[in-house]
Amino acid sequence: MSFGTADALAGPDLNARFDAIRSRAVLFAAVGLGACLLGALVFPASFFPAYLTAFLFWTGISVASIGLCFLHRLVGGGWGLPLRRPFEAAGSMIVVLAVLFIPILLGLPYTYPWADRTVAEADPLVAQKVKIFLEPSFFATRAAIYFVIWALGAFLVGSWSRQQDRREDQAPSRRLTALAGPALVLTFLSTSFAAFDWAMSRDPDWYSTIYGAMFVVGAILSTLAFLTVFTIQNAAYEPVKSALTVGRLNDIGNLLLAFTMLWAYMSFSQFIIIWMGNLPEEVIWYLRRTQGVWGAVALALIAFGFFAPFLALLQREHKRNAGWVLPIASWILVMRVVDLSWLILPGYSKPDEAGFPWGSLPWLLAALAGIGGVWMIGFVGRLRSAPLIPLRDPRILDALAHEAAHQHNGGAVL
Amino acid sequence: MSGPHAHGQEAPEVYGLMAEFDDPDRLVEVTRGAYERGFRQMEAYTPFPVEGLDHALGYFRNKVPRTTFLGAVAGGLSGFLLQCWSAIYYYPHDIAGKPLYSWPAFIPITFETTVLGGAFAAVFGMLYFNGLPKLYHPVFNAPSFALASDDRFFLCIQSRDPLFDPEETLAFLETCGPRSVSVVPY
Repeated sequence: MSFGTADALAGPDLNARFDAIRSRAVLFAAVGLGACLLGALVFPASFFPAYLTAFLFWTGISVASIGLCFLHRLVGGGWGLPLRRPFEAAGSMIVVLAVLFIPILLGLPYTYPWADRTVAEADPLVAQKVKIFLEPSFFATRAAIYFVIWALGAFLVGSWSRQQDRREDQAPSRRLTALAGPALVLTFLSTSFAAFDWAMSRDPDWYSTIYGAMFVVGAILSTLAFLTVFTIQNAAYEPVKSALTVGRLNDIGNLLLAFTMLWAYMSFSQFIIIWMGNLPEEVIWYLRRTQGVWGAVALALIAFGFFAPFLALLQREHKRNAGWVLPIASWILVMRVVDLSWLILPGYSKPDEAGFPWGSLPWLLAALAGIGGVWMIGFVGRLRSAPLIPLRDPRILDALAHEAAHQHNGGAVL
Repeated sequence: MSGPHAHGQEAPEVYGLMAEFDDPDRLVEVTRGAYERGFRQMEAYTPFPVEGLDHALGYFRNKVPRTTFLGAVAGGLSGFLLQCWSAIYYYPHDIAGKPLYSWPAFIPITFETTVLGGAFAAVFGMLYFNGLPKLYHPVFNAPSFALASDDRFFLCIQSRDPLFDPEETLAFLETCGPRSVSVVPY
């Protein structure tokens, strides 16, 4: 089967649903950002780390979406059919997130311990880093460079993919193929550096080289889980209905399983090396994250962030059933927020004195809703402005031709 | 060989009827048709895995995944317990002042033995359930069966199927547009 222009566009039912999502997102954005404004002005110390966590959650989804577009261009596959356009739309939201980064720059001393002059004066290790690498203007310049790289990538991947919809010749796809390899490397490196800058520097006395890769893998997992939830929830309506077949849902389930395992692998690799070495300047990061309530969170991440989705996704029947994939993907998403909070919130605390930052939790929810609302408004608007399945993309046509030749299995709609 | 089909008893030396096809999609279609007619004791032979053929043949449950999982759990547990035993009782040793029971250090080996146990269970479980290796199998008596590893697709309906009837089954297979249908002797 293939898709024409008319039946790849959102039908009236789906448009009505998008309107409903949009009006709910407007509400979330208004209430969330309103609460954020209050938090930023009245409780900046507990607000800004929470805002950073929510910001990194949504930024991870946008940046990983750009990377997954390039990846799909390189390797192809049927899983891209229902997800390519959502990836492109999610990637383009990086422009919105660049604006939402400004509050972090404004609240720098509340967001990052190294931006607090008293911390740098007390800790010579931090003072060294603040001199050059974490000097605020250099920090901001690097952030601008990351956003330019990502926005350019999102723009090119989105506009060339849409040009291909309207053209018989394959020129835009060929351009995209030439770009995809180098762009994927650049996206990975810039995201890795952004993770060092924005997330790892919450503990300015500590470093880990695998941190960037761990962050990227986590972001890809968030992206797959989020867009899986979004797609399944719209799977009752054309054209999503005919795009999300059982076979493709199986592929997506396999990707969720693979990235759950990869996330656990990265996280444990960092842990075991530091645990083995047992050096005071390295173990401090884990001491901050394994005492008191944070210790329970760490155990919950092992049990519910890894084992629960891992065991649930092992079974083929589960991956072929939207009734299983939807709750599993939603659960992964919840654990992604818990994981990010565990990475960000305890930053640079004194292990034995600092309690659990209960005060940050309401701001975390407010920021997730506020940034997420704005993100969702833009995302849905961008998504519905083009066919929901790329029409003449050679990778998509390959996947359709391959599945048409083997229609015996997995071709069924959910 | 009981039941209404008296013909079955006349030719017990026949293993089955083998139909030869050019096209994997045709094979799946015919297999599905045969399954719908009620044939269960049949097997297909193809040069490469054909998607959907397993379901067409009626293989909906496969015991290998469960065997693999159990093998992986057994491998992981035995790897972990072996390390506990050797590190705590058999050869207690002070390594960097860490406690004798240092579970994080056991995880990489546990992971490896999990994979090993799973792989062994998968390979040997597969061999156990599919009955390989076999020194003799009658399907090789079918003419040009060697092409099953080249570019032909075969469906064999076995004589032990209760619905099997040398003439009727032959007539059914002839209607499916095969290249040829041959009798497979024991």
